[in-house]
Amino acid sequence: MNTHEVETTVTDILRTLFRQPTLEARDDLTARDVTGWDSLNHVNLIIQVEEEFGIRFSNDEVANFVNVGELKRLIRQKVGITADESTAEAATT
Amino acid sequence: MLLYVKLPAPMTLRFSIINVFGVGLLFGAQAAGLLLGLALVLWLILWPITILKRRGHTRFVPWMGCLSIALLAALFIAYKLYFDTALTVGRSVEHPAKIEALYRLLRAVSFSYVFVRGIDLIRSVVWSSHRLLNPLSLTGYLGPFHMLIAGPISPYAEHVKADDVQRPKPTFAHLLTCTNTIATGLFLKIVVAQAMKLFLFGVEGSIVSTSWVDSAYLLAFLFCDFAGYSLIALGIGRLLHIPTPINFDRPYLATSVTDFWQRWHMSLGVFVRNNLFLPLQLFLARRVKRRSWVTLVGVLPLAIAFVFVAMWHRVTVSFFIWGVAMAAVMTIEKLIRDRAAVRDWLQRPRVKIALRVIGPVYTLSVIITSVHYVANEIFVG
Repeated sequence: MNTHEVETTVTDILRTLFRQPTLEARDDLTARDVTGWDSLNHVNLIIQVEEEFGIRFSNDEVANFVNVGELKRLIRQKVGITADESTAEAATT
Repeated sequence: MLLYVKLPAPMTLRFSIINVFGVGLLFGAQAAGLLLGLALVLWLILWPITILKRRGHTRFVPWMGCLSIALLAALFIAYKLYFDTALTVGRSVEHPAKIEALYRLLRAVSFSYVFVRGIDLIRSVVWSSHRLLNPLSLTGYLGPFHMLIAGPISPYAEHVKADDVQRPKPTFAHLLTCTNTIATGLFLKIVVAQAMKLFLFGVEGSIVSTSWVDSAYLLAFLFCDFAGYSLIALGIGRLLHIPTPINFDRPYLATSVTDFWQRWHMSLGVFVRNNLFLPLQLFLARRVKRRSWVTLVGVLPLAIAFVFVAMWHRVTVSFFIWGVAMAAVMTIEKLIRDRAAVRDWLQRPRVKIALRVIGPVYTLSVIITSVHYVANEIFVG
Protein backbone atom coordinates (compact mmCIF):
# COMPACT_ATOMS: atom_id res chain seq x y z
CA MET A 1 0.00 0.00 0.00
CA ASN A 2 1.34 3.43 -0.95
CA THR A 3 0.11 7.02 -0.84
CA HIS A 4 -1.20 6.87 -4.41
CA GLU A 5 -3.33 3.81 -3.63
CA VAL A 6 -4.73 5.57 -0.57
CA GLU A 7 -5.63 8.57 -2.75
CA THR A 8 -7.39 6.53 -5.45
CA THR A 9 -9.23 4.28 -3.03
CA VAL A 10 -10.55 7.22 -0.99
CA THR A 11 -11.60 8.97 -4.21
CA ASP A 12 -13.45 5.85 -5.40
CA ILE A 13 -15.23 5.46 -2.06
CA LEU A 14 -16.31 9.11 -2.01
CA ARG A 15 -17.51 9.02 -5.62
CA THR A 16 -19.53 5.84 -5.12
CA LEU A 17 -20.98 6.78 -1.75
CA PHE A 18 -22.06 10.28 -2.72
CA ARG A 19 -22.93 9.29 -6.28
CA GLN A 20 -20.72 11.97 -7.80
CA PRO A 21 -18.52 10.38 -10.50
CA THR A 22 -16.41 13.51 -10.96
CA LEU A 23 -15.80 14.27 -7.28
CA GLU A 24 -12.16 15.07 -6.52
CA ALA A 25 -10.92 13.97 -3.10
CA ARG A 26 -9.01 17.21 -2.45
CA ASP A 27 -7.33 17.51 0.93
CA ASP A 28 -9.42 20.55 1.86
CA LEU A 29 -12.73 18.89 0.92
CA THR A 30 -15.19 18.93 3.85
CA ALA A 31 -18.67 17.58 4.52
CA ARG A 32 -20.12 21.02 3.74
CA ASP A 33 -18.76 20.83 0.17
CA VAL A 34 -20.41 17.52 -0.71
CA THR A 35 -24.15 17.09 -1.16
CA GLY A 36 -25.38 14.20 0.94
CA TRP A 37 -22.42 14.12 3.35
CA ASP A 38 -24.52 14.18 6.52
CA SER A 39 -23.84 12.54 9.87
CA LEU A 40 -25.44 9.26 8.77
CA ASN A 41 -23.34 9.08 5.59
CA HIS A 42 -20.28 10.15 7.59
CA VAL A 43 -20.42 6.81 9.42
CA ASN A 44 -21.13 5.04 6.12
CA LEU A 45 -17.92 6.55 4.77
CA ILE A 46 -15.93 5.49 7.84
CA ILE A 47 -17.22 1.92 7.71
CA GLN A 48 -16.35 1.63 4.02
CA VAL A 49 -12.86 3.03 4.58
CA GLU A 50 -12.33 0.66 7.52
CA GLU A 51 -13.40 -2.35 5.42
CA GLU A 52 -11.37 -1.31 2.40
CA PHE A 53 -8.11 -0.71 4.29
CA GLY A 54 -8.61 -3.24 7.09
CA ILE A 55 -8.19 -0.58 9.76
CA ARG A 56 -10.23 0.76 12.64
CA PHE A 57 -10.81 4.36 13.74
CA SER A 58 -11.44 5.47 17.29
CA ASN A 59 -14.59 7.45 18.13
CA ASP A 60 -12.47 10.56 18.62
CA GLU A 61 -10.85 10.19 15.21
CA VAL A 62 -14.25 9.76 13.57
CA ALA A 63 -15.67 12.77 15.37
CA ASN A 64 -12.75 15.09 14.83
CA PHE A 65 -11.46 14.68 11.31
CA VAL A 66 -12.15 17.99 9.64
CA ASN A 67 -11.45 17.28 5.98
CA VAL A 68 -10.49 14.57 3.50
CA GLY A 69 -6.81 15.42 3.91
CA GLU A 70 -7.06 14.53 7.60
CA LEU A 71 -8.84 11.28 6.73
CA LYS A 72 -6.08 10.34 4.29
CA ARG A 73 -3.42 11.20 6.87
CA LEU A 74 -5.13 8.92 9.42
CA ILE A 75 -5.35 6.10 6.87
CA ARG A 76 -1.66 6.45 5.96
CA GLN A 77 -0.77 6.43 9.64
CA LYS A 78 -2.82 3.29 10.30
CA VAL A 79 -1.61 1.31 7.27
CA GLY A 80 1.97 2.21 8.16
CA ILE A 81 2.98 4.73 5.50
CA THR A 82 5.42 7.08 7.16
CA ALA A 83 5.56 10.81 6.55
CA ASP A 84 8.98 10.36 4.86
CA GLU A 85 7.58 7.82 2.40
CA SER A 86 4.67 10.14 1.56
CA THR A 87 7.05 13.04 0.93
CA ALA A 88 9.36 10.90 -1.18
CA GLU A 89 6.46 9.65 -3.29
CA ALA A 90 5.16 13.15 -3.75
CA ALA A 91 8.61 14.29 -4.88
CA THR A 92 8.99 11.51 -7.47
CA THR A 93 5.53 12.13 -8.91
CA MET B 1 -4.54 40.09 34.93
CA LEU B 2 -3.89 36.62 36.35
CA LEU B 3 -4.49 35.22 32.85
CA TYR B 4 -2.18 37.62 31.04
CA VAL B 5 0.74 37.73 33.45
CA LYS B 6 3.27 34.95 32.82
CA LEU B 7 3.05 32.55 35.76
CA PRO B 8 4.34 28.99 36.11
CA ALA B 9 0.79 27.64 36.69
CA PRO B 10 -1.05 26.34 33.61
CA MET B 11 -3.82 28.36 32.00
CA THR B 12 -6.64 26.03 33.09
CA LEU B 13 -5.61 26.39 36.74
CA ARG B 14 -5.27 30.17 36.57
CA PHE B 15 -8.69 30.45 34.91
CA SER B 16 -10.20 28.15 37.54
CA ILE B 17 -8.99 30.34 40.38
CA ILE B 18 -10.60 33.37 38.76
CA ASN B 19 -13.64 31.28 37.96
CA VAL B 20 -14.28 30.20 41.54
CA PHE B 21 -14.30 33.86 42.57
CA GLY B 22 -16.45 34.72 39.55
CA VAL B 23 -19.03 32.06 40.38
CA GLY B 24 -18.96 33.13 44.03
CA LEU B 25 -19.59 36.75 43.09
CA LEU B 26 -22.29 36.04 40.51
CA PHE B 27 -24.12 33.09 42.06
CA GLY B 28 -23.07 33.09 45.71
CA ALA B 29 -20.54 31.30 47.87
CA GLN B 30 -22.72 28.18 48.07
CA ALA B 31 -22.64 27.77 44.30
CA ALA B 32 -18.86 28.13 44.28
CA GLY B 33 -18.57 25.59 47.11
CA LEU B 34 -20.90 23.21 45.31
CA LEU B 35 -18.88 23.51 42.12
CA LEU B 36 -15.68 22.71 44.00
CA GLY B 37 -17.39 19.76 45.67
CA LEU B 38 -18.70 18.38 42.38
CA ALA B 39 -15.27 18.76 40.75
CA LEU B 40 -13.68 16.91 43.66
CA VAL B 41 -16.24 14.07 43.48
CA LEU B 42 -15.72 13.65 39.74
CA TRP B 43 -11.95 13.79 40.16
CA LEU B 44 -12.12 11.11 42.90
CA ILE B 45 -14.16 8.91 40.56
CA LEU B 46 -11.89 9.42 37.55
CA TRP B 47 -8.48 9.44 39.20
CA PRO B 48 -8.43 5.66 39.96
CA ILE B 49 -9.48 5.03 36.35
CA THR B 50 -6.53 7.02 35.02
CA ILE B 51 -4.20 5.05 37.34
CA LEU B 52 -5.60 1.76 36.02
CA LYS B 53 -5.20 2.95 32.42
CA ARG B 54 -1.61 4.04 33.06
CA ARG B 55 -0.74 0.63 34.50
CA GLY B 56 -2.36 -1.17 31.58
CA HIS B 57 -5.23 -2.68 33.59
CA THR B 58 -7.86 -1.64 31.07
CA ARG B 59 -10.28 -4.56 31.47
CA PHE B 60 -12.69 -2.84 33.84
CA VAL B 61 -12.05 0.73 32.71
CA PRO B 62 -15.04 0.95 30.30
CA TRP B 63 -17.32 -0.49 32.98
CA MET B 64 -16.08 2.03 35.51
CA GLY B 65 -16.66 4.77 32.96
CA CYS B 66 -20.22 3.54 32.37
CA LEU B 67 -20.75 3.45 36.13
CA SER B 68 -19.53 7.04 36.47
CA ILE B 69 -21.91 8.20 33.76
CA ALA B 70 -24.76 6.16 35.29
CA LEU B 71 -24.15 7.84 38.65
CA LEU B 72 -24.24 11.29 37.10
CA ALA B 73 -27.33 10.39 35.04
CA ALA B 74 -29.08 8.94 38.11
CA LEU B 75 -28.62 12.24 39.94
CA PHE B 76 -29.91 14.06 36.90
CA ILE B 77 -33.02 11.88 36.50
CA ALA B 78 -33.73 11.91 40.24
CA TYR B 79 -33.75 15.67 40.16
CA LYS B 80 -35.98 15.77 37.11
CA LEU B 81 -38.48 13.33 38.56
CA TYR B 82 -38.69 14.44 42.17
CA PHE B 83 -37.57 18.03 42.44
CA ASP B 84 -38.28 19.85 39.21
CA THR B 85 -41.01 22.37 39.91
CA ALA B 86 -42.12 22.37 36.28
CA LEU B 87 -43.39 18.82 36.67
CA THR B 88 -46.02 20.03 39.06
CA VAL B 89 -47.45 22.79 36.96
CA GLY B 90 -49.27 25.46 38.90
CA ARG B 91 -47.74 24.87 42.31
CA SER B 92 -44.31 25.15 43.74
CA VAL B 93 -42.62 22.29 45.52
CA GLU B 94 -41.45 22.74 49.08
CA HIS B 95 -38.36 20.79 49.93
CA PRO B 96 -37.94 19.41 53.43
CA ALA B 97 -34.95 21.00 55.12
CA LYS B 98 -33.13 17.68 55.37
CA ILE B 99 -33.03 17.19 51.62
CA GLU B 100 -32.25 20.81 50.79
CA ALA B 101 -28.56 19.99 50.32
CA LEU B 102 -29.40 17.08 48.02
CA TYR B 103 -31.78 19.34 46.13
CA ARG B 104 -28.98 21.85 45.56
CA LEU B 105 -26.61 19.12 44.37
CA LEU B 106 -29.21 17.73 41.97
CA ARG B 107 -30.07 21.18 40.74
CA ALA B 108 -26.44 21.57 39.77
CA VAL B 109 -26.49 18.58 37.45
CA SER B 110 -29.91 18.88 35.86
CA PHE B 111 -31.02 20.76 32.70
CA SER B 112 -27.57 21.86 33.25
CA TYR B 113 -24.43 22.47 31.37
CA VAL B 114 -22.51 21.13 34.34
CA PHE B 115 -24.17 17.74 33.74
CA VAL B 116 -23.29 17.55 30.04
CA ARG B 117 -19.78 18.81 30.68
CA GLY B 118 -19.45 16.09 33.33
CA ILE B 119 -20.38 13.46 30.72
CA ASP B 120 -17.90 14.89 28.21
CA LEU B 121 -15.20 14.92 30.87
CA ILE B 122 -15.83 11.26 31.76
CA ARG B 123 -15.84 10.16 28.11
CA SER B 124 -12.71 12.13 27.26
CA VAL B 125 -10.74 10.74 30.20
CA VAL B 126 -12.05 7.15 30.17
CA TRP B 127 -12.47 6.37 26.47
CA SER B 128 -10.00 8.85 24.99
CA SER B 129 -6.53 9.65 26.12
CA HIS B 130 -7.07 13.17 27.44
CA ARG B 131 -5.36 13.91 30.73
CA LEU B 132 -7.35 14.49 33.91
CA LEU B 133 -6.98 17.99 35.31
CA ASN B 134 -6.62 18.48 39.07
CA PRO B 135 -9.86 19.10 41.05
CA LEU B 136 -9.39 22.87 41.19
CA SER B 137 -8.70 23.12 37.46
CA LEU B 138 -11.76 20.98 36.78
CA THR B 139 -14.03 23.66 38.24
CA GLY B 140 -13.03 25.95 35.36
CA TYR B 141 -14.24 23.35 32.91
CA LEU B 142 -17.36 22.12 34.72
CA GLY B 143 -18.75 25.53 35.62
CA PRO B 144 -17.08 28.41 33.79
CA PHE B 145 -18.83 31.52 35.11
CA HIS B 146 -19.45 32.94 31.63
CA MET B 147 -21.02 29.70 30.35
CA LEU B 148 -22.71 28.49 33.52
CA ILE B 149 -26.34 29.48 32.97
CA ALA B 150 -26.98 28.67 29.34
CA GLY B 151 -23.81 27.32 27.79
CA PRO B 152 -22.35 26.98 25.27
CA ILE B 153 -20.76 23.59 25.94
CA SER B 154 -17.08 23.58 25.33
CA PRO B 155 -15.57 20.11 24.67
CA TYR B 156 -13.19 18.93 27.39
CA ALA B 157 -10.52 18.15 24.78
CA GLU B 158 -10.56 21.79 23.66
CA HIS B 159 -10.47 23.11 27.23
CA VAL B 160 -7.38 21.04 28.09
CA LYS B 161 -5.63 22.34 24.96
CA ALA B 162 -5.72 25.86 26.45
CA ASP B 163 -2.65 24.85 28.51
CA ASP B 164 -0.62 24.10 25.37
CA VAL B 165 -1.60 27.06 23.23
CA GLN B 166 0.77 30.00 23.15
CA ARG B 167 -1.40 33.02 23.91
CA PRO B 168 -0.86 36.04 21.67
CA LYS B 169 0.02 39.32 23.32
CA PRO B 170 -3.08 41.37 24.14
CA THR B 171 -3.75 43.95 21.45
CA PHE B 172 -6.21 46.80 21.21
CA ALA B 173 -7.77 45.23 18.08
CA HIS B 174 -8.41 41.98 19.96
CA LEU B 175 -9.91 43.86 22.88
CA LEU B 176 -12.14 45.82 20.49
CA THR B 177 -13.35 42.66 18.68
CA CYS B 178 -14.19 40.94 21.98
CA THR B 179 -15.94 44.03 23.31
CA ASN B 180 -17.95 44.27 20.10
CA THR B 181 -19.07 40.62 20.46
CA ILE B 182 -20.07 41.19 24.09
CA ALA B 183 -21.90 44.44 23.24
CA THR B 184 -23.81 42.76 20.38
CA GLY B 185 -24.81 39.97 22.74
CA LEU B 186 -25.91 42.41 25.43
CA PHE B 187 -27.99 44.35 22.89
CA LEU B 188 -29.69 41.18 21.63
CA LYS B 189 -30.36 39.80 25.10
CA ILE B 190 -31.14 42.87 27.16
CA VAL B 191 -32.61 45.29 24.63
CA VAL B 192 -34.21 43.21 21.86
CA ALA B 193 -35.23 40.07 23.76
CA GLN B 194 -36.46 41.95 26.83
CA ALA B 195 -38.43 44.41 24.68
CA MET B 196 -40.07 41.46 22.94
CA LYS B 197 -40.87 39.86 26.27
CA LEU B 198 -42.34 43.07 27.65
CA PHE B 199 -44.43 43.62 24.54
CA LEU B 200 -46.02 40.17 24.50
CA PHE B 201 -46.02 38.98 28.08
CA GLY B 202 -45.94 42.21 30.09
CA VAL B 203 -43.79 43.18 33.05
CA GLU B 204 -44.92 40.45 35.43
CA GLY B 205 -46.44 38.03 32.91
CA SER B 206 -45.14 34.51 32.50
CA ILE B 207 -44.18 33.14 29.11
CA VAL B 208 -47.12 31.19 27.69
CA SER B 209 -48.14 30.19 24.21
CA THR B 210 -51.81 30.01 23.32
CA SER B 211 -51.56 30.15 19.54
CA TRP B 212 -49.18 29.44 16.68
CA VAL B 213 -48.50 33.18 16.41
CA ASP B 214 -47.43 33.18 20.08
CA SER B 215 -45.11 30.26 19.37
CA ALA B 216 -43.56 32.01 16.37
CA TYR B 217 -43.00 35.07 18.53
CA LEU B 218 -41.62 32.89 21.30
CA LEU B 219 -39.11 31.32 18.90
CA ALA B 220 -37.90 34.79 17.85
CA PHE B 221 -37.63 35.82 21.51
CA LEU B 222 -35.75 32.62 22.35
CA PHE B 223 -33.31 33.22 19.53
CA CYS B 224 -32.53 36.80 20.60
CA ASP B 225 -32.24 35.83 24.26
CA PHE B 226 -30.19 32.67 23.79
CA ALA B 227 -28.02 33.84 20.89
CA GLY B 228 -27.41 37.10 22.79
CA TYR B 229 -26.30 35.19 25.87
CA SER B 230 -24.07 32.94 23.74
CA LEU B 231 -22.42 35.99 22.15
CA ILE B 232 -21.69 37.49 25.57
CA ALA B 233 -20.11 34.18 26.63
CA LEU B 234 -18.14 34.00 23.37
CA GLY B 235 -16.77 37.52 23.80
CA ILE B 236 -15.72 36.88 27.41
CA GLY B 237 -14.21 33.51 26.46
CA ARG B 238 -12.15 35.07 23.66
CA LEU B 239 -11.07 37.88 25.93
CA LEU B 240 -9.81 35.39 28.51
CA HIS B 241 -8.48 32.94 25.87
CA ILE B 242 -10.71 30.20 27.25
CA PRO B 243 -12.19 27.92 24.54
CA THR B 244 -15.80 29.04 24.07
CA PRO B 245 -17.61 27.66 21.02
CA ILE B 246 -19.88 29.54 18.61
CA ASN B 247 -23.45 28.52 19.38
CA PHE B 248 -25.64 29.93 16.58
CA ASP B 249 -25.17 30.23 12.84
CA ARG B 250 -28.19 32.12 11.40
CA PRO B 251 -30.70 29.30 12.11
CA TYR B 252 -33.54 31.27 10.46
CA LEU B 253 -31.83 30.62 7.09
CA ALA B 254 -31.92 26.82 7.54
CA THR B 255 -33.40 25.03 4.53
CA SER B 256 -34.41 21.90 6.45
CA VAL B 257 -34.99 20.75 10.03
CA THR B 258 -31.70 18.84 9.82
CA ASP B 259 -29.96 22.04 8.76
CA PHE B 260 -31.71 23.97 11.54
CA TRP B 261 -30.30 21.72 14.26
CA GLN B 262 -26.81 22.20 12.81
CA ARG B 263 -27.22 25.96 13.25
CA TRP B 264 -29.16 26.23 16.55
CA HIS B 265 -27.39 25.56 19.87
CA MET B 266 -24.50 24.09 17.90
CA SER B 267 -22.40 23.23 20.95
CA LEU B 268 -25.13 20.93 22.31
CA GLY B 269 -25.31 19.37 18.84
CA VAL B 270 -21.56 18.71 18.87
CA PHE B 271 -21.79 17.30 22.40
CA VAL B 272 -24.62 14.89 21.46
CA ARG B 273 -22.87 13.94 18.22
CA ASN B 274 -19.55 13.14 19.90
CA ASN B 275 -20.87 11.52 23.08
CA LEU B 276 -23.99 9.71 21.96
CA PHE B 277 -24.81 9.67 18.28
CA LEU B 278 -21.46 8.74 16.72
CA PRO B 279 -20.36 6.11 19.29
CA LEU B 280 -23.79 4.45 19.09
CA GLN B 281 -23.98 4.61 15.33
CA LEU B 282 -20.46 3.25 14.90
CA PHE B 283 -21.20 0.45 17.37
CA LEU B 284 -24.32 -0.58 15.43
CA ALA B 285 -22.91 -0.02 11.93
CA ARG B 286 -19.87 -2.23 12.60
CA ARG B 287 -22.20 -5.07 13.56
CA VAL B 288 -24.40 -4.83 10.47
CA LYS B 289 -23.49 -7.30 7.75
CA ARG B 290 -25.33 -5.65 4.86
CA ARG B 291 -23.87 -2.33 3.85
CA SER B 292 -27.27 -1.00 2.77
CA TRP B 293 -28.51 -1.41 6.34
CA VAL B 294 -25.89 0.95 7.78
CA THR B 295 -28.06 4.00 7.06
CA LEU B 296 -31.13 2.21 8.38
CA VAL B 297 -29.54 1.40 11.74
CA GLY B 298 -28.43 5.03 11.95
CA VAL B 299 -32.03 6.04 12.56
CA LEU B 300 -31.99 4.50 16.06
CA PRO B 301 -29.04 6.59 17.36
CA LEU B 302 -30.68 9.64 15.80
CA ALA B 303 -33.89 8.95 17.73
CA ILE B 304 -31.95 8.26 20.96
CA ALA B 305 -29.94 11.48 20.51
CA PHE B 306 -33.05 13.61 20.08
CA VAL B 307 -34.89 11.90 22.93
CA PHE B 308 -31.85 12.67 25.09
CA VAL B 309 -31.93 16.33 24.05
CA ALA B 310 -35.67 16.44 24.77
CA MET B 311 -35.36 14.75 28.16
CA TRP B 312 -32.45 17.02 29.04
CA HIS B 313 -34.96 19.84 28.93
CA ARG B 314 -37.79 18.03 30.73
CA VAL B 315 -38.54 14.40 31.60
CA THR B 316 -42.13 14.33 30.34
CA VAL B 317 -44.14 12.35 27.81
CA SER B 318 -44.55 15.44 25.62
CA PHE B 319 -40.81 15.97 25.42
CA PHE B 320 -40.27 12.28 24.69
CA ILE B 321 -42.74 12.53 21.78
CA TRP B 322 -41.03 15.75 20.67
CA GLY B 323 -37.67 13.95 20.47
CA VAL B 324 -39.08 11.00 18.52
CA ALA B 325 -40.96 13.34 16.16
CA MET B 326 -37.83 15.38 15.43
CA ALA B 327 -35.88 12.20 14.63
CA ALA B 328 -38.74 11.03 12.37
CA VAL B 329 -38.82 14.34 10.48
CA MET B 330 -35.05 14.24 9.98
CA THR B 331 -35.19 10.63 8.78
CA ILE B 332 -37.86 11.53 6.21
CA GLU B 333 -35.77 14.51 5.09
CA LYS B 334 -32.76 12.20 4.68
CA LEU B 335 -34.73 9.73 2.56
CA ILE B 336 -36.01 12.54 0.32
CA ARG B 337 -32.55 14.12 0.08
CA ASP B 338 -30.95 10.80 -0.87
CA ARG B 339 -33.62 10.13 -3.49
CA ALA B 340 -33.16 13.64 -4.90
CA ALA B 341 -29.38 13.16 -4.99
CA VAL B 342 -29.74 9.91 -6.97
CA ARG B 343 -31.83 11.72 -9.59
CA ASP B 344 -29.49 14.71 -9.53
CA TRP B 345 -32.33 17.10 -8.65
CA LEU B 346 -30.32 19.02 -6.05
CA GLN B 347 -27.87 20.31 -8.67
CA ARG B 348 -30.58 21.90 -10.81
CA PRO B 349 -30.60 25.73 -10.52
CA ARG B 350 -34.40 25.94 -10.15
CA VAL B 351 -34.41 23.39 -7.36
CA LYS B 352 -31.60 25.26 -5.61
CA ILE B 353 -33.54 28.55 -5.78
CA ALA B 354 -36.77 26.87 -4.67
CA LEU B 355 -34.96 25.28 -1.71
CA ARG B 356 -33.58 28.64 -0.62
CA VAL B 357 -37.06 30.18 -0.68
CA ILE B 358 -39.33 27.34 0.42
CA GLY B 359 -36.77 25.65 2.70
CA PRO B 360 -36.74 28.28 5.49
CA VAL B 361 -40.56 28.59 5.37
CA TYR B 362 -40.97 24.83 5.73
CA THR B 363 -38.28 24.61 8.44
CA LEU B 364 -39.67 27.43 10.54
CA SER B 365 -43.20 25.99 10.21
CA VAL B 366 -42.03 22.65 11.62
CA ILE B 367 -39.96 24.27 14.38
CA ILE B 368 -42.77 26.66 15.38
CA THR B 369 -45.20 23.72 15.54
CA SER B 370 -42.76 21.82 17.73
CA VAL B 371 -42.27 24.88 19.98
CA HIS B 372 -46.05 25.22 20.26
CA TYR B 373 -46.29 21.60 21.39
CA VAL B 374 -43.84 21.92 24.29
CA ALA B 375 -43.73 25.66 25.04
CA ASN B 376 -46.10 25.63 27.97
CA GLU B 377 -44.17 22.83 29.66
CA ILE B 378 -40.77 24.40 29.43
CA PHE B 379 -41.58 27.93 30.47
CA VAL B 380 -44.00 27.30 33.31
CA GLY B 381 -42.39 26.88 36.69
